[in-house]
Amino acid sequence: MRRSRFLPVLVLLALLLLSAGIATVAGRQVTPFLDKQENEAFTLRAKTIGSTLSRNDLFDCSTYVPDTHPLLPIEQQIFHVVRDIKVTPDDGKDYLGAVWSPSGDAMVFVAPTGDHRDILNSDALPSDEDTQLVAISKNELVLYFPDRNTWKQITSDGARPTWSTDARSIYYMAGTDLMKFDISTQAATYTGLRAPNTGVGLLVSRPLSDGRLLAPRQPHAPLEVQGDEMPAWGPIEVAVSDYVLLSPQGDQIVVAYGANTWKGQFVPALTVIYHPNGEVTPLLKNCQASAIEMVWSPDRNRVAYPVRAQRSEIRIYDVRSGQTQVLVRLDTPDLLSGLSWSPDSRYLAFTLGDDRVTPRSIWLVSTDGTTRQRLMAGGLLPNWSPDGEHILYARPGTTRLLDWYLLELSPAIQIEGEQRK
Amino acid sequence: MNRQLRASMMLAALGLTLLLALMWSSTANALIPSYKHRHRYINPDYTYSYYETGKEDYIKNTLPNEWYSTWDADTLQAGAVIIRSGVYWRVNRSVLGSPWPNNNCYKGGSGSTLYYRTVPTSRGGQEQWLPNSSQSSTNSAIDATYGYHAELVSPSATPRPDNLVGLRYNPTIQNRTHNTTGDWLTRIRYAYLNQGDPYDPNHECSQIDDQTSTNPFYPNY
Repeated sequence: MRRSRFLPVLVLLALLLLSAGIATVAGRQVTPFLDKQENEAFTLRAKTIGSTLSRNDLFDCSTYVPDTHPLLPIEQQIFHVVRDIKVTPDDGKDYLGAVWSPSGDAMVFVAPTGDHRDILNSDALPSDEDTQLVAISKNELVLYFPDRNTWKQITSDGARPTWSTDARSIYYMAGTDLMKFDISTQAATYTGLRAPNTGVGLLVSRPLSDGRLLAPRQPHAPLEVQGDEMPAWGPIEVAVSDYVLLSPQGDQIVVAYGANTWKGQFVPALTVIYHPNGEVTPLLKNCQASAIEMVWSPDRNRVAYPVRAQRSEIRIYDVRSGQTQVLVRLDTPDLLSGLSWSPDSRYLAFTLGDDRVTPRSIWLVSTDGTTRQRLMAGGLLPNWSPDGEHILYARPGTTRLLDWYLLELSPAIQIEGEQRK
Repeated sequence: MNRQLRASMMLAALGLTLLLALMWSSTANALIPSYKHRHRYINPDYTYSYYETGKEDYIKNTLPNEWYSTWDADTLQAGAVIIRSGVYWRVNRSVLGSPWPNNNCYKGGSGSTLYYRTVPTSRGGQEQWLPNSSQSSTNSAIDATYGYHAELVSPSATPRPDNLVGLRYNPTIQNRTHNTTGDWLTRIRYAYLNQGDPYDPNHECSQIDDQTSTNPFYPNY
């Protein structure tokens, strides 16, 4: 009798606890799948990852111990610095980087604002982890003409500016919309192409230089090229945790699949290349830090990337031969980053050091591995102009993260087949 | 009646088990309150992404990029505890009433969320939190040291978590935890006693904070 008197209280307590527990669990659970069932999510992605993981010849950053012999090309004066001028104005904007026009006479800076766009529909993998992308910045896109030292705002809400091949217009994403800015009329128009309003749609979608759009066609769909027939590499399924890097001609694509743990099963970060013939080449494992620093050569035949190790390296993968070349191996663990190809693919500029142990400096190395040059002390993020005569680079700012400078270069050594200026 | 009683008792037991589980969980987290971190991260395309992450996932996406995952488990565990100590330092400064000034790219807190700017060193920042970069060996080291932070390092040290940042942001901390022997605690003690050039927690943050920001999404306190 006494027991039964407490029964309702116990039941109520249990229910309360259960509902509290459920609410707690629900509160902790990020909502990765609003529109998609777990068992049908990311099938293509899982298939690519499964076949990549089955390879045992992948370069694995988590186990790689570099050779003890450094690979340091001979130091030689390759270029002279003719001029070094600060270009970004002290207007309080956070200029984070720029994209050169194909002709090299202008560049578009990306300057994130304090405004943001919420990620409402995340495209996240089902995960034991609780890292969640919640928003992306709205950004000003600002056009800069070095010769005239003039600035022109293109938009207050744009991302991933991409020059048209003829340098007459700039395509960019305004949220989900693909826009076209005409240089001569200084007017922006909507192209009619649109990405879905999801995490992948907002973060990964990007214009191609011919006005097409790499984006999912609908929420949670694979990436496709819109505006034309499907390229041979077909649909590519990515989650919001993945990173995508298109080749200069848009016909090859590097996908860095982010690491994830689900139901206690850890899947490492994997990097693959999708080729125009539909083949997929597995490339890297546990190398997300390398993958996000990867850069295509202008001749689209190679990708270069740094490897963070106790003796840091720069590697070049040749997509035609499938061979990897170690271009530089330091005898220190100093960070190598910010790789940028010269337009003729003969040199790589890069940053050595990160101001923690070793001060930053900008170096050049010939991609045949014969010569190197310390171009300057203190800079980072070199960005070679298409005419090969300038390098845009950053220095830590005094009132903002980065200030940007422009170097004018002249060759110090006679380049075969070219006249000295 | 008996069946009802059994069912109710089972439910109650379930509820109580859940309660105990919740209590255990909050006790385990009590060392470092389980605040969400909101990071502003610079993407390779020069835009910002805002991420929310719990403290353990924050460590899992930092440790493999600041230590070397090929190193032995004791070194990685020392690294995990040191990075967790940095988290504790931030939480302490943010919400536990530390009277010492805060900088190091801290942006404030609101409710159960703390705000930071996390800029990779390759893009001008000070630390290497990279989303989706966790690795198996470093994850194991982090799980093996769950709940520990370096306040336990030295009884003679001033018991003030702010001092621990000297470990977290010391530029040679990785090698000092590697170039010795013993378990993670021994390695941290060694690293702490041989700090070399300590990080000054009152040094101005190199990632300039906009002290006038009124953006409610990214508040400045």
